[in-house]
Amino acid sequence: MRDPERLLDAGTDFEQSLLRGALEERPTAALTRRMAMGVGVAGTLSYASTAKALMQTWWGKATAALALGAGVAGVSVLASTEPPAQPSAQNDPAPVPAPAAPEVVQAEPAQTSESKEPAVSVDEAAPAEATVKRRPPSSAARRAGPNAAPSTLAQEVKLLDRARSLVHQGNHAAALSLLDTYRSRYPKGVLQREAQLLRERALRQR
Amino acid sequence: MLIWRTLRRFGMTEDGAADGTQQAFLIAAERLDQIREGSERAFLFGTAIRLARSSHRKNHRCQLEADMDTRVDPRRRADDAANRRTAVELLDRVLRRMDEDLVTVFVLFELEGMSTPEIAELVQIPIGTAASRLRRARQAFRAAALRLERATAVQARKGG
Repeated sequence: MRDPERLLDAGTDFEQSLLRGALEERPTAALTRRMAMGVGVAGTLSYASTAKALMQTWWGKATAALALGAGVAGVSVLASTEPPAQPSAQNDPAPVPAPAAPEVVQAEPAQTSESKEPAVSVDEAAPAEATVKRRPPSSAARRAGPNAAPSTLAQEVKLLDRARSLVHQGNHAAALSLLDTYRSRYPKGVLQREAQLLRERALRQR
Repeated sequence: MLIWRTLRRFGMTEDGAADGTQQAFLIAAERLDQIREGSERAFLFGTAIRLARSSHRKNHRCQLEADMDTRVDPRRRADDAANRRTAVELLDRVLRRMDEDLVTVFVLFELEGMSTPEIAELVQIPIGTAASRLRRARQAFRAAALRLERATAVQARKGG
């Protein structure tokens, strides 16, 4: 069975213009940063030279993001003293996550919009064998206030890295204690979501 | 980016699609050890589609109202390269009138370049069903696009 020719190539001019418009649509730079922050990889991928080759493939991008985002692994590069790049214009198209100067450590103070979509639980979205409950997503960038300075973020990252190591070592009580510290120290932390994921993992594995 | 774009075509706002993208990746991160090698892309798309559908169901009424409010002026020509946004809005108008199952197949085939067997595996339907849905989706899209194009032309004549 052969697939038909795609309308992008074989459709009328009008059809092609509709489809091309959708293909060319990009999230704003602010949204791109928000998404990257959401999986805890912003800046990280763009920084590591080894990540650059990985980023050449579609799944390279995804797995790098997943591997790093899963446990805030490797985000210690955020503790670097490199200055963050200036945020680009709101409407600049920006590929996710593109190898570029380290950024995203600065929050977007103007980013206050709320999503109109209702939150969806993991159980609804994940395959049938799903058993993990998770809080609905929220934007790290939105959580981050103007005071989310790189140094603070670096400290957050360090703390969560330690908690993650403890989880991996099976020292769940210590990890949870550290996550409590994180919560009290950074009630509006940029990496709250990652902390929550770690907490859930520690609780499950306990 | 692909996930965000797919969520957008399911009627999510730019903000909502960003949240959905985050969520899809976080879910995948949680399930990394359960995802079969080679099916990572399918997992992400599958998760995104489920998120979009669930969100769409919950938000259906709002979406319809928003649709009414944000109707695009048909006099704005979609083939104006300078106005990509118009094209996107027009496409979304067309897609919103199509059945959800058809939109899924249509978006994956026409925009994401997947083959029918890939779509069948991702959506977990027989290949024949995927092909049939694709045929119907293309018919629906083409009919809607034609109506829209004619309406645009009529409006342009009246305006001109």
